[in-house]
Amino acid sequence: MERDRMSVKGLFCGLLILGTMSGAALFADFLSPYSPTRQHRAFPSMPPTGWNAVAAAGETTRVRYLVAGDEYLLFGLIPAQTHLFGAEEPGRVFLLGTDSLGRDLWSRLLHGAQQSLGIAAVSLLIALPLALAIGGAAGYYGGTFDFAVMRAIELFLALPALYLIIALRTALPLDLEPKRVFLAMVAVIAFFGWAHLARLVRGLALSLRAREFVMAAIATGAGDWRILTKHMLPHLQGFSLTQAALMAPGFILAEVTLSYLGLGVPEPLPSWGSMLSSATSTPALTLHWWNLAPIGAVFLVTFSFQLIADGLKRRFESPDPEAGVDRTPDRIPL
Amino acid sequence: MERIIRRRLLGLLPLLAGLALLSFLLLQIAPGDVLSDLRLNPQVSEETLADLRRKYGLDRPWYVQFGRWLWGIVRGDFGHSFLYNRPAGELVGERAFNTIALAAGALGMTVAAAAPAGALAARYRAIERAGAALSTIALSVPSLLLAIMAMQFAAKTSWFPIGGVSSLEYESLTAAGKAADYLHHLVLPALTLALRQLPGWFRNLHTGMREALAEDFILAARAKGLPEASVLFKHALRNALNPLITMFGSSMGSLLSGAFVIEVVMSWPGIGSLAVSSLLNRDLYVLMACLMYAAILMALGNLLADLLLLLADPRLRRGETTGGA
Repeated sequence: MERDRMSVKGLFCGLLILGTMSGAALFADFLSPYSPTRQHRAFPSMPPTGWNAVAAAGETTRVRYLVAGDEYLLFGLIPAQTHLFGAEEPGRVFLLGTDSLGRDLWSRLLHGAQQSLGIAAVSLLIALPLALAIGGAAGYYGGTFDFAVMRAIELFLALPALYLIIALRTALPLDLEPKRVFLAMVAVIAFFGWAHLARLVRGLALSLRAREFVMAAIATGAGDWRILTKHMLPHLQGFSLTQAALMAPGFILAEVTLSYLGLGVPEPLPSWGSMLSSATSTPALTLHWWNLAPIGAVFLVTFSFQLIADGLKRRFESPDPEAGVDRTPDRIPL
Repeated sequence: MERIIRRRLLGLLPLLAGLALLSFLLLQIAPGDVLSDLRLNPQVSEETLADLRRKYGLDRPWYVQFGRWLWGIVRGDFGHSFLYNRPAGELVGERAFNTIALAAGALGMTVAAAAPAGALAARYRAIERAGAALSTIALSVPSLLLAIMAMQFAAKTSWFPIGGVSSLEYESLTAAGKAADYLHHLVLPALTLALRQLPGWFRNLHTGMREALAEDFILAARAKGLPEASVLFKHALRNALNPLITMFGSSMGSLLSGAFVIEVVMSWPGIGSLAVSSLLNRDLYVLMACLMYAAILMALGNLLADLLLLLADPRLRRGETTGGA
């Protein structure tokens, strides 16, 4: 009981963190004082300034709220130039400092969240239905279709996750255009993620198919489509939600890792992975530690999904004598 | 036992062939090849390019290339590295040793730490709580972050070398010195990988121990007055071994993926970092060989886990002739 209440609290905390970060990503343009690609040439590798604005000569100016600054398109549609906060000219405010090219890390972190979280979310929205459809159909129909699907899944799971991602990535051009990069990343990551899930769904569908209510539905002459969507799918709801929470960190990390390797979101577009890759040269590691800010962001997201998944697991798992026994190996392979 | 091994190894063949086809097709979809960069160079004539294409067999249709490559593998030839100008199999084989050393080192550290921690956590409430909280946090730190933080640690303290497998004076060292040098380079990457694996293993072992401690034979052991340490580490731990071995099999994927990240970030020359550099250079056959090796390592790990399970559990062995695997 105590554990249950704990897990509800955890679920709530997780959703809160995730919600805040998604909100911050959505309103990144408004919440960040500068454009993520703008270079402040006088301020390379500046340590974090906090709420003080620094000017070139080491003087400080004041931080102001709702100031006009770099122009942007809110949600990619509405032209605007108001930022939540900014420094009085000629000062600059760098909450998290700047990178070696003098770009504001706070602005880049928020815009990076757009790429990193956005790519993971869209990939999940593709991989999950795909896995439900393929795995469900395989489990329900059985026979040759099932056999073929299972062999295909085994093929995908024969490689360690990252090797599979690399293998899929080979099919795309090395240098991606900024406009296409989002779609390309989504394609790679969704294609990588479906197999594991489809295998789980197939197992569930197989056992559901033998249950009485499905038998009854078949006996009353319901069509396959009706049985799959009306009778079996509702039983997979909790499972799907839990799996989505378990897989999401892996999806985010897939993008971060690819971008880190220089195979994902290209410069100057910000993403957590590409930010990290420029942060890991030796001088940056020892002297310019603030460049590692994306580490905190990745940790927070992963942690929030961890809490969410734990909460959902307890919420949806049927109470049985083994309750509390957690044998699932951690689903974040990276 | 032998029959099982043979059957499993035979079952691996179609899987590898399928995987080879899949990755070969993916590479064919990819635009550009190893000569793309050369083609941009105005000093290289059309004739030279055509010669090179013919030499590498790039002018043939993909199924001919695939057939030749597959036939080569059957004879133990993984094709040729365009970049290093060496047989790809040889290159990847050398790198595979480093990857295996990294994974095995990490695995050893993980088990060495998880076994006592899991056992004690099943016995003492305080350790259980601390372990549960720590593992939730640790599960949220992916390999990439761990590796970067380890690099920062190494750069700040200079206790550990940053990257590579050997020091500059490696060639002048004695055999023992070489081994020590290698191990010195291995410690930090392996530790990083182990840290990533630890929470999962801890949870698994903890559950196994809790189940074992609830058994009647534990009650009997305590009733006859055995010291608690002997009950815990001799009687209970042995019975928690099965889920642990299963865990070994199922964690092969995450172990190799984790090793991949650590190899790249910490410049450990394994097959993961080789795969990335060959992808960046479109060094087709090396990349394919890396993928094949990764799949083989993973399959062998799983096979090893199944065999260990047979060794550890006589109940499974008895069912051996009816084919348990």
